[in-house]
Amino acid sequence: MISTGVLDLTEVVDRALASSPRSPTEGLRQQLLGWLQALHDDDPACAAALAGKLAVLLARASVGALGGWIVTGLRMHVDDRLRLRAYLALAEAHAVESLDREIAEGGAQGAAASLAWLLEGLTERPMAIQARDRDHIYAAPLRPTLTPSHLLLPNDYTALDGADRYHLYRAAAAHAAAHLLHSVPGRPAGKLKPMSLAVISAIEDARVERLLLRDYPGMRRWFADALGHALQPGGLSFSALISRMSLALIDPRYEDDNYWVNKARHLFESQASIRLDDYAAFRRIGSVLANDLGQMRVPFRAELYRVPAAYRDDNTFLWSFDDERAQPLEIELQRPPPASRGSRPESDADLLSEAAATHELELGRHAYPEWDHRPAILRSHWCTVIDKLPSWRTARGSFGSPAMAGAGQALRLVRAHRFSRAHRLRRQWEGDDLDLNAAIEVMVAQRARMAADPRLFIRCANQERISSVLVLLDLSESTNDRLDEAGPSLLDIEKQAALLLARAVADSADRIAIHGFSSNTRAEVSNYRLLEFGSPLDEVAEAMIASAPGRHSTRMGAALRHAVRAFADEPSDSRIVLLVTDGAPSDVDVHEPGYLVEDARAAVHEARDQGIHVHGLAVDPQGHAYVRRIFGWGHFDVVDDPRMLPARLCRLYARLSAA
Amino acid sequence: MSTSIDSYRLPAKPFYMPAGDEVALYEHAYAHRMPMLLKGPTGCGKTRFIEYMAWKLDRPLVTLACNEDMTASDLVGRYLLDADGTAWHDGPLTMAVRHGGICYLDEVVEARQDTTVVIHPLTDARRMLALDKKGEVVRAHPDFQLVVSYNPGYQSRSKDMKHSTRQRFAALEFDYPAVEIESAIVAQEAAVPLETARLLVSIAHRSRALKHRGLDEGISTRMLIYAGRLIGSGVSPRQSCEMTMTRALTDDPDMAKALQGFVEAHFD
Repeated sequence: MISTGVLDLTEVVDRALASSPRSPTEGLRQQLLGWLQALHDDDPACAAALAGKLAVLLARASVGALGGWIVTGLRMHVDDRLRLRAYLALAEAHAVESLDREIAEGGAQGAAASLAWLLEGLTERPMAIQARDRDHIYAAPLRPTLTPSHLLLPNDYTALDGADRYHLYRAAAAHAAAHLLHSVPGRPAGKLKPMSLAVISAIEDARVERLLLRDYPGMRRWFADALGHALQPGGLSFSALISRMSLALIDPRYEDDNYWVNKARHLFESQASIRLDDYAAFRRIGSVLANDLGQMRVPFRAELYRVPAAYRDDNTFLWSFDDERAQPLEIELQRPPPASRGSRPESDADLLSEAAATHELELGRHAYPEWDHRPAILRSHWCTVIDKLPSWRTARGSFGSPAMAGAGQALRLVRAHRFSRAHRLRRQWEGDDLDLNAAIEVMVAQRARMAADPRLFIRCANQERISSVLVLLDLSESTNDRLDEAGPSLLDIEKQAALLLARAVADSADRIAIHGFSSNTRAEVSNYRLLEFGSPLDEVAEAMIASAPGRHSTRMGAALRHAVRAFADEPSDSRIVLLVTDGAPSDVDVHEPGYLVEDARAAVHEARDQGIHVHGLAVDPQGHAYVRRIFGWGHFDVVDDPRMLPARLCRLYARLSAA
Repeated sequence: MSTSIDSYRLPAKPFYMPAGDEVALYEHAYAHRMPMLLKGPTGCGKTRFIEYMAWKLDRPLVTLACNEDMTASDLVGRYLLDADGTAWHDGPLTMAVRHGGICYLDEVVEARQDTTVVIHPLTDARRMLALDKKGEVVRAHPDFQLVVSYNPGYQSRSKDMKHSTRQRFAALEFDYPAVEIESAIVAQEAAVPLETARLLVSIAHRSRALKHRGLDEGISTRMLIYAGRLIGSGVSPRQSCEMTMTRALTDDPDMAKALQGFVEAHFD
């Protein structure tokens, strides 16, 4: 219960939600509550203003749109409490206008599909677009983040960032394409000062955009519009100078009176007229310009700086940092919220896992229930599953290591016969042949002077079954154990098996996804999305699979419930989860034996209710009892020799997908 | 009867710009009356090529667009009723066989496999067509040639040619022409400046990269020519492309947005 004497926020939110036409989920309710709380901590009067209008606002806008509207207000009236209060009370001119805009526009999620295609078409490589939500209303605006396989777009562009948000997202996709096509990712940052990094990155941004403009002249307007919007005219701060320079390098019509900006333009253009694809030359220009700024005593605070143009990514794509600076720029940029949030006690385990996870990319958090078999209740919102990508930077090195020996071999699927022969459809309105039985009935009906059924033809039709298979790998700490001293670990064999299966399936019409899971208490069930349905199995995907880390425990139920969600958009006739594990479910916050087994069993049943077949494969000779309990008779296999896992997995796949 | 086959002669020289040595290879194949299989994506110029060759070799060209509901009777002919009773009418294939035309079955995989087996005796040394309903065996005219085309892009097992069928053909593989040639074709056919044609071709290349990733087929040369013609008659490039390419290619609003993005990336 969050209570502040005068204002009971929980009650305000619940009352407003009760009268709202939509029925938001518990997660949204919490989000809303969090925002109000943050506002309240900063300025109770603001929270009160918003609370007074909450019911009116929710009657019109969704919770997401409302969040965008609040953030817009906060950014418009950074230093003016009174106007902010008026805005939140809908008593300010811009407030209604900005609310309308939030309601009208979709976020990054809505644009993701078309942007992914745009990006794929431009780069000719598969790219996933992911929307990333603001985690706090006071957080500094997010910038896109680029990896070789993903573009993460902030969901928090507000009306302030550009009039048409789709155009902003589109410019972000084009900019990402420019990097993917023309930048070398992950250059060592070495001992470069943060300011030099920022200037060199800005020059590189302009260089790759100019390279892209050679092929796509129409994009000049995309970039120039967005850069013009981010322009801080006449400003002399670091950020303002970068915004002026960036526009000057893209828009030839832009005039600037600053010496440094014009010097940047002159240096850039004279090199551009010789060779645009000479990275080293432009890097030297960046260094010269950064040096000038240093001599001009322009203050630079890395922790406050963010790339001025909202569509440009945070440049973590360009650099790789040494370990002590493993936190990339983007994380340094987060401004701490003005008020303290409920601080979370950090255990040693937390710190340890954070150190190991610095390079990982979080894609989203999802809450799932858990089954408690003793009182027989489903505890709602009990587990938090975090979707992640393993670090692709560290992945590259580890590929081809002896751990993945045999990864190059191909495995042919011994596929059981699929029923794809032509079916004969009887009693059709039209067709090639008479259906004799129907014809006789018509004759009989005619003699009896009854109405005859005129559907008396036979037609051929083909039917083909496609299956979607999700391989769910147990990535718990125990999988790191080696089979013998020099041999591979079980984790390596699991990955190899999954990879071989994925390669075999890639040649067929079937669809495969590979996820891996591990858990560190119910608050952190990590789900690594190593290969998605429909994405090709290329070098990056293979590196992802190879780099999945083995740590923590096995909370199977939550992972299974999350796996079911991955089938939401799968059109296939048969949908299968193949779960590979090396032991019974367990976690550090659960002491009762059998509790997680029962939860996993419940999750398997829930999946079956939704038409998803779940089959267990346990690499544990002693595992019969619990795998049978979880998956049910006929729905599990026990593999005695881990080395047989790849072959068993493929055989199992062939059997299940043909069924 | 000879008048009706003559109506299948090409009235004028069709425009065709060779992308390789396909013209010479085809002439060699025709010298042996070898059945030909033309493979390639939709709108890349297969039909135009065969028209050009028929004109060059001075043969009538009987074209048939195949579809799923086509039966063997649609190819070889059937008895029809008239005032005096029943009368046999040659189908297009039979007409070409009797009078020495080139019979072109467009998108042959669209026809069901049991339909296409009627061409088997025509495509080996026998070179004959049995009209079993009529009780007649037609020996092929010395100039007769069978040409089929199909689009390997629709890779599904149900839409594939039987091996016993495809092994009877010599194959020429077509693809969208190289950038320069395709630009020249678009410029010529649509009567637009080469510079505009180049931009159109570049848009097409972006869309072709999305084949199998959301699009079944990329933007074809034919679509580019349509777009070019509209641009030539004064429609703005963006609207021309939207009409002839974006909207024509997909119904998916997200894909349409992406394609329109390619267009706007090229034309300011």
